[in-house]
Amino acid sequence: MIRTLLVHSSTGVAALIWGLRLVHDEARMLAALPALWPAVSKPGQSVTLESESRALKIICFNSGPTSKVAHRLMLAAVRLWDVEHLQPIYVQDGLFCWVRIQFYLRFPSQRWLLNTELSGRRVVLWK
Amino acid sequence: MEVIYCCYGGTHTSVTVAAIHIGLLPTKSRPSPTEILALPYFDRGPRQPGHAFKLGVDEYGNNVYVAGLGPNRHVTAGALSLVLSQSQVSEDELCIVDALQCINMWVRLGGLLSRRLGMVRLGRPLCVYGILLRYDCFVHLAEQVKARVAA
Repeated sequence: MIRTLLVHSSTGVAALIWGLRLVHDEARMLAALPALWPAVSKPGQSVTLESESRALKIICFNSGPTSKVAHRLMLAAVRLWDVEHLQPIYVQDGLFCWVRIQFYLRFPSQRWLLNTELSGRRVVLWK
Repeated sequence: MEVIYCCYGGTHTSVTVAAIHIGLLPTKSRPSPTEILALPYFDRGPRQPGHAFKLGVDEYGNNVYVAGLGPNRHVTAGALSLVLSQSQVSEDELCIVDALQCINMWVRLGGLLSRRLGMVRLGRPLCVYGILLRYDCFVHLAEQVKARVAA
C-alpha cells in the first residue's frame, strides 16, 4: 500500500508548497507552483502528487475556513474505514498568503514572497 | 454499500434518518418523544462538528453511518470523500446523503440551544418537537435512500 499524506491548509497555499517540497527540489517546486495553484485555489479543491519513487502519494487539499472541522472528520474517517496508510496533516498558512501568492504568480522572481511557506515549519498537530 | 447521512452537528437530523433507515424508528407511524430521545447518539456525543460514527447495518447488509460536517459542508464533505477514495470503498459503494433537507427552525433552534449553548433541557425537547413535525419527510428520505441502495 502506498503511503499517503493528506496535507491541507485553509487557503491551500501552504499545503501545496509543503506537498511540492516533498516531491521536488526547490527550483522544480517553484516552477510547478503556477501550474498547480489553480487546482487548489478554491476551498474543497485538491491536487495529487506522487514522489518519483512512487512510494509516497501526497494529496494537497484546500480545506477553507473550517480546516479544523475538516481535520477532525478526516481523522474520524481514517479510524472508521481503516485507512491506516493515510495521514492527515494540517499546515498553517502565513499571514496574507493568498495575496502573496497572487503577487508571486505575477512576479515569479520574488521568491521572498513565499518565504513563510517555504520555511516549512508551520505544521500544526491537531488531534 | 456505505451509506453516510450528513448534517451540521451529526446528532439530530442525520441520526433520525439513519435510525429510520436501519429500523430503530417506525416508518408507518410517528414515534413517541421517548423513542427519539432513546436513540444512540441523539443529541449526545462531541459538541463540535467534524465527526463520524457507525450507527448500524440495514436489512440489506449496508453499513449506515452518521457524520457532522459543520458549516462549510461542500468542503468537509470533500475531505470525507478524499479519505474514502483512499480506502477499500469504491465510489459505486458510497452513498453520501444530506439529511439537512428535512430540517426546520425548531430543530435548528433546539440544536443551537442544546449543543452550542449547553441548554440541554430546553434544546432537546425542541429538537424532538421539530423532528416530529417533519417526521414524514425523514421517513420519505430514508425510504428513497433505501430504495437506491437496495437496487
